Amino acid sequence: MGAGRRETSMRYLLLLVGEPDMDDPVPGSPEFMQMLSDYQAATQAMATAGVLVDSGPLQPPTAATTIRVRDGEPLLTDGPFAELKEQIGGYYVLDCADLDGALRWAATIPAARFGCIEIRPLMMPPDQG
Amino acid sequence: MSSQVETVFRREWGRAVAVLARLTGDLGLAEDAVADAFAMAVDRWAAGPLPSDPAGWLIAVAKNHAVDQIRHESRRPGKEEAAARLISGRDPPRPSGLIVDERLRLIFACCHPALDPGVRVALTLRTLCGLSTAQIARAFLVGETTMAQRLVRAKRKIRDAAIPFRVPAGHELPGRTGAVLRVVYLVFTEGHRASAGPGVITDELCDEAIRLARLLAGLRPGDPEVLGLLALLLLTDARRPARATADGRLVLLPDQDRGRWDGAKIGEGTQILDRAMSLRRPGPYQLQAAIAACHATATDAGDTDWAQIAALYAALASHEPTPVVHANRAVAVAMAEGPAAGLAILDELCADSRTSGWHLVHACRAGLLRTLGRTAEAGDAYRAALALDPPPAERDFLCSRLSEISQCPRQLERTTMPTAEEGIEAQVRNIEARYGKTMPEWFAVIAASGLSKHTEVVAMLKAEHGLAHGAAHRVSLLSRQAAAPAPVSADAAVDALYTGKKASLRPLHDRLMTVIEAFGPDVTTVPKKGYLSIRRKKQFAMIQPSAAGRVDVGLILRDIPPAGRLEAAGSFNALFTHRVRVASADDIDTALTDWLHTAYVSAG
Repeated sequence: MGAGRRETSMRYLLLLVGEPDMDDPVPGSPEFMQMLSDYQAATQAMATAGVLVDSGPLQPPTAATTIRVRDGEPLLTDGPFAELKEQIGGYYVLDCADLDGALRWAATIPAARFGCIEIRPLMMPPDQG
Repeated sequence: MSSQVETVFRREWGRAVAVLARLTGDLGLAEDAVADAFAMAVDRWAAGPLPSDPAGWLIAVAKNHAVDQIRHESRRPGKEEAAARLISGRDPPRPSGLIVDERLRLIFACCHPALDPGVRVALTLRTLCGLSTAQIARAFLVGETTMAQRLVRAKRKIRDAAIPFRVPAGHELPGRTGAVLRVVYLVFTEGHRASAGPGVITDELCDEAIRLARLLAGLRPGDPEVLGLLALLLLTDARRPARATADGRLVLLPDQDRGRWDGAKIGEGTQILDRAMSLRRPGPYQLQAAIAACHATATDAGDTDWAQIAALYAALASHEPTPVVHANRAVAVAMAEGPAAGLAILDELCADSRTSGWHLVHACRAGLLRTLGRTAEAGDAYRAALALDPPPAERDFLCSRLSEISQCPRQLERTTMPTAEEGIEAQVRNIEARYGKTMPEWFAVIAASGLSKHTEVVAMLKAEHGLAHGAAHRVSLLSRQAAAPAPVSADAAVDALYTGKKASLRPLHDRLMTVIEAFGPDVTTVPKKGYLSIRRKKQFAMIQPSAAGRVDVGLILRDIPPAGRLEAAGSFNALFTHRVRVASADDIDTALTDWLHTAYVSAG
C-alpha cells in the first residue's frame, strides 16, 4: 500500500491485451520478427534494471479451462471466464517505485502499440508478503 | 474557526497537506491529519497567541495524528515502518528534480494523467487550496455526495496505484504541463469570481494561482502557453484593487477606477505576453491574455477596442468552443457592432441544448434584449437565468434588473460581471461627459445632418465633432435604435390570443388569472405562441385557449400522478406535466385552485 512505498516499492501486474481492431503483424513477416525482438529487448532491459519479477506469453484462449467450485463440486467450462473480444496474450510482473516507473516500462512493451496494457497494482508489497 | 486560525488555514493548508502527502503517500490520510491539526489549533490558539511558526506547529501535530491513524490500521502492511519514520521526523529521500516546492509536487500528483480529467481540478481545490467539498460541488454544478465520492475515489487511486508526489522528469514534463496549467487557471478563476460566498474576493486563491504559474514559468520558460497563463493571471489580477467596494461588493469593469489598477502587474503581464507571442505558437491562454491586455491598456471604458476583442474571442472559440467563450464573443460583438449582432449569437446558444443550461447565456441575452427595448422578452430571459441558480452576487444583480423591468423601482445594485448593456451604459456616460452633449442632443445632430447610412454618420461625427471612432460608432447605433418602433406590449399579446371565435373565452382566462395572481406578487406572465406562460422563479402553469370552446390549463406538478380531470399533459405540451380542461366558470373550483397553488409553491 501507499505508506512507506518509496523505500519498499510497489508491484504491478501488466496485462497485455490484444485488440481485435488492430492489425497485428502476421507470423513470419518481417514486422513479426521485429516485434519479437522488441519484446526480447524490452524484457532484457527490465531484467537488467532489476524491475522484472516475472513475465510470459500465454497460449490462446482456446486453450483455456475455467473452474468453479460449487457445493464442493468442481464445475469446468471449456474456454476463458468471459467471452471478450479483447484477449489477454501475456503478462509482466514488475517491481517499481511508483506508477510512473511502471508506466515507463509498460510503454516499451510492443503490446502497448498493437493493443493495450492494463496496469494493476498488487495488493501486497513484496517484502511484506 | 477564529479569523486568526482562518488566515493561517488559507495560507498553510496546501503546504501542510503536500508535506504530509509526500511523507505518507496517502492523500486522504494527509488531509485528515491536517484537518485534525487545524481543529486542535482552533482550541489552542483561541486562548493565547499564535506559535512563532504556525505552519511548523501544524505540520508537527498533523504528523502525530497521521502516526496514530497508521497505527490504528495495523492490518495494512508497512504501516509501522512509515509510522516510525514520521515520528523520527526523518524525511524519505527527496525525489530528484529541479523543483522542491511542496505544492508543485502535490499539483503534479493531482493532475496525473492516470486520473480522470474531470476530477483533477476538484482534487486540487480540495487538497491544495482547502476548499470544502460543498464549495467544489457548487463550482462543478454537481451534488455534494457525487463530488465527495469522486474525491475519495481519486485519493484511493493515488494511494493504491502509488501515483508519485513529484515533478516529472524533463522529457515527461511537456506532456504533463497542460493539465496543470488548466488546474492553475481554474484555481485562479475560483478565487476571482469568489464562489465561496457573497462579498468575498478570495485573494489567497488568486495569489496561490499566480505563485504556481510563476513556478511553472520558471520550470518551462520556453513554453508560450505557460507564459500566456502567467500573463493572463497578472493582467486580470491587476484589476483586483478596483474590483470591490469598501464593503466588499463587486464593481463592474467599465465602472472601475482605472487609477487603482496595479500598474506593475499590467507592465509585467504585457511584457510576459509579448515574450510568449514572440515564440509564434498561439494558444488559448495567450489569446485570453491578449484580451485582458486590451482592457488593461485602454485609458477608459469608452476607449476599449471591442472589435479587436471580438476578433480575439473568435480565435479563442476555435480553440475552446465553450458556452462562456461564445457568450463573451457575443458581448464583444454587441459592443463593437451593436446589440442586435450580439443577440443573434446568443439566440443560437439558447436554442442549443448543450449551451442553454448556462445562466450566463440567458443573462447576457436579457441584457441585450433590454437594451433593444424588448422588455417582455428580456424579463423572460432574466427569469431563465435566475432559474439556473447563478452565484449570489449575480443573482442580486439579475433580480434588481428584473424588478426594474417589472416597474418596481429599486435601487440598482452593481454587483455582477460586466454584460454588454453595462458596458454600453458606461460608454454612454463617458461619451456624454467627454463631448458635452446628451444622447438626445446627439440624435438631434444626426437628424439635422440628413445622413442615414451608419458609416456616413460615423464619419460626420468624427470629422465635424471630433468624436473618437468607438464613440461615433456607439452614438450612431443608439440613434438608429431610438428611431425604431416600440415593441408590442404584453397585454396586446394576450389580446391577440383571444380574437375571433376565441373571444368568448376571455372571461375564463381573466377569472383564472385573478385566482393565480392572488397567490403572491411574484407571479409573472410571458406571452408564448398560442398560450400565456405563467411563472414564479420558474414556469409553473399556462393558459391556452382552445378552438373547441374551452380553455386548457397546463400545470407543472412533479409529484402528483394524473387522475380524473387532472390529466397527464402527454402530447398537449411537453413543457408541462398535467392538463385541466376548463369549459365553464364552474371548472375553476377549489380543486383546480389547489393544483395551481401547489405548482406555484414548487416554482418558488
